[in-house]
Amino acid sequence: MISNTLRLRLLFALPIVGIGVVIFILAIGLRGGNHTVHPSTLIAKPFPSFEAPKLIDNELTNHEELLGEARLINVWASWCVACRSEHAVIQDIAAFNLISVVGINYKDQRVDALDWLTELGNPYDYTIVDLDGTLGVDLGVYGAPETFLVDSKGYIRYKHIGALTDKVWEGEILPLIEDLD
Amino acid sequence: MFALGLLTIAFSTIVTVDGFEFTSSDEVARFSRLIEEFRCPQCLNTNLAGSDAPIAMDLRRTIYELMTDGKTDREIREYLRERYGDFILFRPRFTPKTVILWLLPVVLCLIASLLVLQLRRSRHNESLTTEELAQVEKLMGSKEC
Repeated sequence: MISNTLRLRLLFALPIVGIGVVIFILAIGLRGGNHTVHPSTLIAKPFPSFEAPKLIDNELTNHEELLGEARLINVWASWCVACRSEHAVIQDIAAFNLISVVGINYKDQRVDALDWLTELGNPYDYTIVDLDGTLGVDLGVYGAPETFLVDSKGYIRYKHIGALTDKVWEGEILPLIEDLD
Repeated sequence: MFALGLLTIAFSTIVTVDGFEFTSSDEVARFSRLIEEFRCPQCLNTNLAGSDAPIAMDLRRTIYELMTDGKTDREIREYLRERYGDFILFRPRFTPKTVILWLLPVVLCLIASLLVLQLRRSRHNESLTTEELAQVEKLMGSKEC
């Protein structure tokens, strides 16, 4: 008799325990910070092949020109608000002369992009023009700014979504660059 | 052969959806189905069909181009997943990471039906032993007095 009532009680407790477990799992999910940031699936994969003009001289370039040295590739646009605040950080990084910095001008107007560089300064060794976002799609880009670290063999080692900060540069990218050597 | 070609040209109508040109309603249906299948990477819980984000437009164009290149649905899915990760798939793949996701409902249903069965069985077994019957009779009898 006792075992029967006990069993019944356990049975009724089961849904409550179940709901508790579900709430716990969902609570963890909600606390998980920024949901729009997904790790790139392209890490350790080669930089996608492309052919596009450079911003300043309109000369054609492709993925092969990236090879030979490690590159920090920064996706930017003149219409992108966060890129403006990020620009100072990019300039500092370029001034270090530690790594070649290359830009990808993402879905921008050529005139606006050139004006932007004249106004704020040009930290890029060169800038690849991605007029319609095709290269962006190949890179899994979904907005500017985004930054990639590519090694000298053309493999993507790291991706940062959103504006670069000194903290990200010193804490995440710099150690990776030192590892590359 | 030439006449046949003319016939197909005469009967084919070009349908424009979202700025993309399609030659058959099947293609339109396929495109609509595909753009509903993927999540917009920028805006949470909106699919590519329902999002105004520039990246959603780019990805719709990418899907259209892959379709016109003759890629299969599976190849299109793989193309987008390689670039944007599992996140972009509204229907998760079956991988070691998603085993729980896929199997938990089945397991829970199994447990639930087992519990129901057991509960029913225990109700059926609620017949009294002869000792208990005697006790009941005794009690009932005493009440009648």
